[in-house]
Amino acid sequence: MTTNHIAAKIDSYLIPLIGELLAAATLKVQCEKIGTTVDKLTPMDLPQLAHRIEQALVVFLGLDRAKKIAYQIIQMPL
Amino acid sequence: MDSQKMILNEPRAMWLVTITLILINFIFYYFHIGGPEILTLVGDLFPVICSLFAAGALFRVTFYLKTWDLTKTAWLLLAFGLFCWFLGESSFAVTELALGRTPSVPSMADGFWLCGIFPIIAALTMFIYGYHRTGFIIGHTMKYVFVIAAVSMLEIILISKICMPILYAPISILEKIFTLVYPILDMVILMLVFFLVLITSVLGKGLLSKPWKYLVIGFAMISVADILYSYYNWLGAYNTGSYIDIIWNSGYLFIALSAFYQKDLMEKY
Repeated sequence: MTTNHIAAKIDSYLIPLIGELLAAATLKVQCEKIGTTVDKLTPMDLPQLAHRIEQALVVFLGLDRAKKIAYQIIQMPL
Repeated sequence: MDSQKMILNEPRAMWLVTITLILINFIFYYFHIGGPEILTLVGDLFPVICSLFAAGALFRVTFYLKTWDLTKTAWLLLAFGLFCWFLGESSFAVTELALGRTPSVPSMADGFWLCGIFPIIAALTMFIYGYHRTGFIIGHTMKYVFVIAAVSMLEIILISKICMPILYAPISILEKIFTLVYPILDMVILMLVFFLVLITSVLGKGLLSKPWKYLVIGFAMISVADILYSYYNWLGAYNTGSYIDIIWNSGYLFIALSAFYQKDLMEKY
């Protein structure tokens, strides 16, 4: 479990969708891909991270819904 | 009790339809209500109804996917494949009920069934490719190797038990091709289905996994029923009204369920 509150918020958003295991793994991998870690995640990283999550969700929900989720992640109250 | 749980949403309603249809189907097959004519009628009409449910539900999903992308293409291919199977079932039913004879292989129904298999294989492959592209974890590679090995073993058994005797049987080339092609392509579908099983197991109980889980169950049932049909038909032991039909019909209904869950998921987000 991360102590970073932004990561925790995203995690709580992803868990109902993809389950606990995959949510944690996805967050970790996508953070690494944008050159950071889960614990060092800042609000500045959100747009890039949300875009990556959007790309990951397209196959399940289609582009429109995936974009909507990405937007909700960017807009979520921190 | 939570009032939300009492609401009969679309997937729940589809569950009710699925269970009811399977039960009615089973009762007719088990008790032979109304004699052989009614059994043939039920045996011919149920696959038409169930495949129509599946094709209709899948087309509805594509309607909800606005942007033309890999996801929409995959669901549309599935819908098209199932619509071909619906035409196959309808053509078979019309021949048997209206003309009073079982269609010989290859019939128009075989043509529709065969046409439906290719878009379905393409759609399942697109789902796997799409998942691979997401960067989500895929689980242990060894599991995939095991699936390929297991399906290959099954394929060898299938070829030696069903395909080889058909190859040397005194039947027309066209009949041989159609009889052989079904079990082979079904094994391809079964392998793709196993891959999707591994993927959905990684997704766990997340909402996204539900449509794929039911899709997997549906196609697994249809593939197994197809393989059993090939075997029993070859032995001359298959007739409309066999329990294999129930596996087929259940498969169609599970595919319809998958589409209902997908639509439900898209409405939530």
